[in-house]
Amino acid sequence: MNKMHIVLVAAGATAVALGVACGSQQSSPPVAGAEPKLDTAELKHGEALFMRNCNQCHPGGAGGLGPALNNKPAPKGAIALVIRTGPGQMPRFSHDDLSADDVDAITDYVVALRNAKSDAEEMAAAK
Amino acid sequence: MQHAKLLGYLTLFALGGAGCLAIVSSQGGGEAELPIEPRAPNPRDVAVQPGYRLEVVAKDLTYPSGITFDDQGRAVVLEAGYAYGEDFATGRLVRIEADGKKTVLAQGKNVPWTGVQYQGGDFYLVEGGTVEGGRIVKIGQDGKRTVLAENLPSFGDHHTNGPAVGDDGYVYFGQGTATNSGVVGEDNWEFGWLKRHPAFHDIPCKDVTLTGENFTTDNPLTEDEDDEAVTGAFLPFAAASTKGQVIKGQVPCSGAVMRVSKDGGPVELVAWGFRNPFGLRFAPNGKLYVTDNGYDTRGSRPVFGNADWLWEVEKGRWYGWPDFADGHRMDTASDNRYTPMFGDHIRSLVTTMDAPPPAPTALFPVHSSATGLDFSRNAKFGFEGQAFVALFGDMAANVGKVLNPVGYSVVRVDPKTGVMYDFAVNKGHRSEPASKNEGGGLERPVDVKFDPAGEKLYIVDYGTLVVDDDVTQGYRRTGVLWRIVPDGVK
Repeated sequence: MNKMHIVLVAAGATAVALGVACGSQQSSPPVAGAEPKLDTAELKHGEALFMRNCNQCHPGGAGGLGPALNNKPAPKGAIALVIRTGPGQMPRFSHDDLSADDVDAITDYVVALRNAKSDAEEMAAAK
Repeated sequence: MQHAKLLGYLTLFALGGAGCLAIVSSQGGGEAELPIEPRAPNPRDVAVQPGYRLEVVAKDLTYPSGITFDDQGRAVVLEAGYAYGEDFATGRLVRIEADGKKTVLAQGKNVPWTGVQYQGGDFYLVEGGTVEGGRIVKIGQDGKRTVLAENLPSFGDHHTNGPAVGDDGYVYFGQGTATNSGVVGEDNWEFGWLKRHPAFHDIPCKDVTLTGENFTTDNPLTEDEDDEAVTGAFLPFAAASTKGQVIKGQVPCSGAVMRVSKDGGPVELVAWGFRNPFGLRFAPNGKLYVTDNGYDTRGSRPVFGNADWLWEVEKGRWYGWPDFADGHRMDTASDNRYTPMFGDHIRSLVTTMDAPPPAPTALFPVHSSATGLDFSRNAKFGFEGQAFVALFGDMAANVGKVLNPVGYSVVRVDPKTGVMYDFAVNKGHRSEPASKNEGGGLERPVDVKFDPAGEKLYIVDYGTLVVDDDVTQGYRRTGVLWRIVPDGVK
């Protein structure tokens, strides 16, 4: 693979990633009552932290001021990295703001939101 | 799986390189394509909490803003008589009869009429007062009209709001600020009120000492296109401030919750430091709560990315406006989080204030416009003790850019934890108004109230309000009164 090929592939992949990250048409189909199943104390903790720190820009995990979270296949490590680095206009959350356990709890909750959205879509499709 | 991980990390990389807000145009729910189709409300286009159903009670209302119930349990709706974009109509108090017909009980021109509550045979009505100043008015069943408070400072961006009638014999109400963040600017000219009231500005409730921050803009009050104005906080347009300048506090004032006796008398300060305290309601535990709209990214001192709030109102407390957001001091907030993209760092406007504000009870989505609220009191409806809040929806791009429509729904909030979930929201791929998704669902919920039995939740839907090329336009006779009923309740 020559250098030009690598540059083109990287540029194309970045464009796709930007589309995934920012695509406003890709946010959650709202389904009232489609709440995530929170069966552990850590998930409830993550829910409370999410509501204090994240929900303002990503309401219910969907898009708002910021992009949607619940339509992206980002692994937990990527979510945690975003929380710590604050890309673009997103604020950066330091260890003074959120402990490592807090970030873990939030990432688990975000995944639960994503799963709840998938379940709701399947139920809606089945009707 | 490896591909998913790769895409996830590339997404992160892409976000880190630019940020979506820098590269995508605003996608607010009010940024609809014209012309707007006639409204045909359809409950089937709205997703409500499982176990509940949605019904249409009345339609063809013009800018409805509030609801209450009389002794016979009949719904009485308030029509605001005003829409942003300077559409002045008539404020009306309208009873919805059992057959759907409307009976006008009172009307007036000091609009917008923003809220009403019936108690003990009287209607307590708030005249928002963009024309003649805010008023709290008592209207008896015989139609007798008694002014309880007047000359409230409502000529600016935000109006007199509320009310909540307490068991202590007082009518509590909110007074919004004149400006976005303390400084009169060109945005207020564009809103229209600076032409009518060029000397109007924010009024602090207690003495404040200014930092001397000033803001230079074009001067639309003069014909000289090169003329500039330098304006400081809590001062009229084109009046500069100096460091250490003291602005005397007075009541009534801007950005406050105040009260007046049900029999009239002096206006008393309850709490201040709010921005637009819109919906007031006493919870079953007797505590007073208020919704409050956060700053916009506009004007001489734009603020980015702060929430709307639900506050528990403590008597005598200051809640942070104009220097705090979300309970955080903006000039020292980590990562300059409230500074707009390519904007100036936000500096404090005042040096003397009371104790720092408390943390909000709950934070609503940015630009969602949290408005009317009520608390569930009946196990038959469920969620006892939780707040139900109308989210009017964003006014982007006038208030700032958003990547997706925000609000246009009713949420329920647990005041103990701040956790909130949608209770009624339009079906579709985004939480957008009916005029945007071309469905028959919600447009702009502005108030929610339970019926006297606490079994049914009524939603006042203001109707269609769009922002087209920065021009705001309301559509008369598009307001709807909805009702959410639990399964098993007739």
